[in-house]
Formats: sequence, C-alpha cells, structure tokens
Amino acid sequence: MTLDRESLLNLAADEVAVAEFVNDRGGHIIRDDRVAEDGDPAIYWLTLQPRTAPDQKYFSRYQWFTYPYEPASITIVDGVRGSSHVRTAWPIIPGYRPDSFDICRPFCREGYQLHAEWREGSTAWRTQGNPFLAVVQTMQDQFDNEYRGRVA
Amino acid sequence: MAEENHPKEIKVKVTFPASPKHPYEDEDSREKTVGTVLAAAMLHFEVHDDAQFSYVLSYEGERQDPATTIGSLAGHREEIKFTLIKVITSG
Repeated sequence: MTLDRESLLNLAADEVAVAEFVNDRGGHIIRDDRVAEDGDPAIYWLTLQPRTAPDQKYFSRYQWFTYPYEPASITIVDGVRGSSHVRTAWPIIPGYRPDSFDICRPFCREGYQLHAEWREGSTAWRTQGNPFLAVVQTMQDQFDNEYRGRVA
Repeated sequence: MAEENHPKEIKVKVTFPASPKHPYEDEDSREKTVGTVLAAAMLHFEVHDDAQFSYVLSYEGERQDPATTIGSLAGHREEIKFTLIKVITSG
C-alpha cells in the first residue's frame, strides 16, 4: 500500500462521483486493487472516449500519493495495467506528449514538475471540492473538444 | 409552433467540482444566454478568467458559445445542467 489511510478514505468518497461521470460518458474507472489481488489502491485506470469519436477508447493511469493534497501522476497507457510507452495509445491533444509519454498540463504531477511556476497562482493545485472529479472532467473536456485523432 | 408550448422558465444547474460550494442553481428565462449563465456561475463559484485560464460552460460534453440561448439547448426540457470547465490556455 502506498497511500495513507486518510488519502484512501478521501479517494473512496470522491471516486463515486468520478465513476458516475465517466460511466455517463461511455467511460470506465477501476481501482488497481479491484483488478488484481496484488493491486495498488493508489492507482486507478480510467477509460475515456472522445465525444466526436466514440469508437476510440483511451486508457489512463492515475497514481495518487496523498489525496487531495498532491496531484496524481497521470499517463496514457495501452490498456488496464498496460504500458505507458506506446505512442499509438496516445490521443492528439495539446499538452499530451507521446514522445515523452507525459501530459504537460497544470493538473498532474508531471505538469507541475515541468513548470514549477504552475505551483503558484491560478494554476496551483487545488485541494477543495472533489479534485479527482475536477481533473477527470478537465481531461474529458479536452477529449471532447480538443481531440484531433490518435497518434500514428 | 412547438416553441410556444415550452415553459417560459427553465431550471438551470451548473456544477464545478473544483469548488467546495454547492452547484449554482437558478430559474431563468429560456431566452437567457449561455454567457449570462456563465457570468452568474463564475460569480457564485468566485472564479474569474486570467492569463492562464478561461471558463466555459459545457453541455453534454460540448463547450457552448456564450451567445447561445439556454432554451435552444434545452428544447422541450424544463431543466438544463451545465458543467463549468476551466480551459487551460497555457503550456
């Protein structure tokens, strides 16, 4: 287990709304320890589909470290428990970088590591409300409105 | 005309999970624009546009033009639910 008990309880409370949101949009979410007995409860696997291309499924891996106090590490993978280093698993969306296998946006750990200035002001990580749902809604909005296809 | 059969008022709800506040809710004229609802919701959630972000209302996954009337989106429905989305302009 990589998460403290408070984080686990907070995630358990917030994941309900996340599941409702993604299910309503043809997506899916599952916590890693529900995939396999040796699973990590800090990790979630999300399946999202773009509004304009519902036949296209994209998988992402969320790993939380302390919730809601720090952003999750988020990467695109080629399936549940899949690899994060498969270019064709990635969507073409601004800020999603299939060459470095990361997302350069102010809602994930990788984005804040790349841009230290994002840790202050309006781009800072917000712990209020349901940050898990806020991030998933942001990603779904990008898939719905900024998606330009799958990386070849 | 079918439009005349619609109730004059429509229940509007805007959710914004990044806020600890309850959703924004109101009853508005069908002629009210998305932009007007957006402004009221941003006031409710105490957020504003800046150099890094702008806010939009999303309806059924689609970012909405501020000039669109909520009645034209809702059709015959008596309630319409938006999501307030923080759109990143940097990075």
